[in-house]
Amino acid sequence: MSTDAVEVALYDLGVKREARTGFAADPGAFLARYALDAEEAAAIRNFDVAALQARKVSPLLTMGFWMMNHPGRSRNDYLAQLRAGGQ
Amino acid sequence: MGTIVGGFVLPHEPGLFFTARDEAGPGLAEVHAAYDRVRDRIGELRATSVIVIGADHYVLFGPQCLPNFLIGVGDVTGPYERFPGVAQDEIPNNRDLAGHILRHGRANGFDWAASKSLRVDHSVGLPARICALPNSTVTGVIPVYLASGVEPLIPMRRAYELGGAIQAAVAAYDADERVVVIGSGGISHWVGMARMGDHNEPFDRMVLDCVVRGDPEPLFALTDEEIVDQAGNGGLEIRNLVCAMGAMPASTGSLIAYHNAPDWVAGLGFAEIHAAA
Repeated sequence: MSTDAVEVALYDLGVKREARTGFAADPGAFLARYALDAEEAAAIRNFDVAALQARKVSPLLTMGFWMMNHPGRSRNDYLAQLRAGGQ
Repeated sequence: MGTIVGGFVLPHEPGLFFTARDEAGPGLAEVHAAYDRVRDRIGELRATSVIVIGADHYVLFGPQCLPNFLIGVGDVTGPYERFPGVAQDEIPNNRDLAGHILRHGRANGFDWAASKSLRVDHSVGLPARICALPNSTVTGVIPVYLASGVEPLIPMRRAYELGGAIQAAVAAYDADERVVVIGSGGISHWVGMARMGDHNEPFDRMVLDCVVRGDPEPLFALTDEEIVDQAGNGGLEIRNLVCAMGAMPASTGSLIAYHNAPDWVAGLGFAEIHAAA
């Protein structure tokens, strides 16, 4: 729907434990709470931070989202994903 | 009457705490020494309150509410992030002075947002914990946040003017208070961007030179696009340094230290701003 809605979802996933728990348990159900279109929800579900930044989402949020939710929580992996995605 | 007795610009480098100090190599030891220098100078200035101007990193304020500039007037805790050996409990605030700055500003064209209960992040919490509070003279740390990390951003010139509003409020304060102002921000850094880890030393030294000469004009001339291009999204935090400069207009300063290395998130610049005689 909008970059703003993506930022709300990523902000919640960065700072709210209950959001992270819900996302980990059922990403689809969790993301349905937000006004996201299918591509945006897929980008979050797939940790496609390059695609999110291409949509002008704040890098502060994409990094926080990755570091608090990605199974590896590796900054190097995060940067590799960004660079592979052309950011 | 309150007086601003000194100012500093410094980074809020989280990497400071990842290695125990007694195991620090030369680079880390030099950065610790720079923070120690600021701490000791605050003590030598016999500061009673320290105002720390920081940037939210999109963890305190969400997309639903993004203040242009905010002052903590009540309970303060933090930093939000856990660092080895760094307390996260109460940071004593000078509530009376903070409230005065808010009221004075609102009466003079600066519509402060306020927080009555604020958990600060590392941009305020780090200098509060390691530079301000170790001094027995310091009884309060007043947190100020600018929209300097998350869009929509406070205009650079407005950040400087806000510093002037802080200075005017301190000068109009009834009680004797010796105030130090700290502008807390890394210089070049690409936070969460593909270039994360890069630095731009010429840009960093240009900014520090402006601080030392007391000349904000070259910084006013930069567009946000130019800053992001040359110094990353983290470079937008130089607004915090500019705000500290605005609190001490016509003051010159001296460089304390500059470091950049792959270990550091940002170009790390430390300088003191001397109170005009």
